[in-house]
Amino acid sequence: MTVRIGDKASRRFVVDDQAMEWFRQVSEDDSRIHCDDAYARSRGFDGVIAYGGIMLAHLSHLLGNCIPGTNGTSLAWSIKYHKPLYIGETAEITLEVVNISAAAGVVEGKFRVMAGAKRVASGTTQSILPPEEIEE
Amino acid sequence: MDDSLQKITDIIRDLFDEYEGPVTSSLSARDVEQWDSLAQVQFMVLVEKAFGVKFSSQELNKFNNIGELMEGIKKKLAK
Repeated sequence: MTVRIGDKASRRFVVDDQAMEWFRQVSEDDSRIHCDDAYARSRGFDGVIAYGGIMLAHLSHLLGNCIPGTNGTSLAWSIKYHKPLYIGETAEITLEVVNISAAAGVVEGKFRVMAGAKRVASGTTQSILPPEEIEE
Repeated sequence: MDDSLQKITDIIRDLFDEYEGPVTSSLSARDVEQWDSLAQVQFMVLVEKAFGVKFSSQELNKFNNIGELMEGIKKKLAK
């Protein structure tokens, strides 16, 4: 498959309590904003905030399975968090190819995470791909 | 300093922050410890963006140093 500028892939997901607990155990991140509902509410949020790392796990799925796909290797990711994602909210992450360097064998993407009309996060990706999968 | 060389110097200073030597036409990847194959990939992406040009992998392989790269950019921009 050849990757082209403008190619898009999306994935819908819901962060539930099980995913939060799994990520807490894997990351050993015990930040109260992610684990303590009363604390999160005292800080002005509507409850605990989903770990950003879980959103990145869904980005990893898109990169590894869709764009650029199973033969790609990530070089760089960046992410900015705009609004909190709460437990049980349905979110959608969309990744789009914005630049291809045939010479360098690089595919660059931008992604955003939306929960309805709420912009949760956005960022960029950079992956390398075997030359035969990039159109010169 | 030539405008093209200045742009390339800015990229090199940003990407290879441990390199403090001069950036001249004769500079090549061999002269910069951080300039490995992955850094080369990022360097070329930044160069293409900075100059608004695209190279093929065959063209890229012909550049032995910064001077040859600048010549290649000049030819692309003249087309």
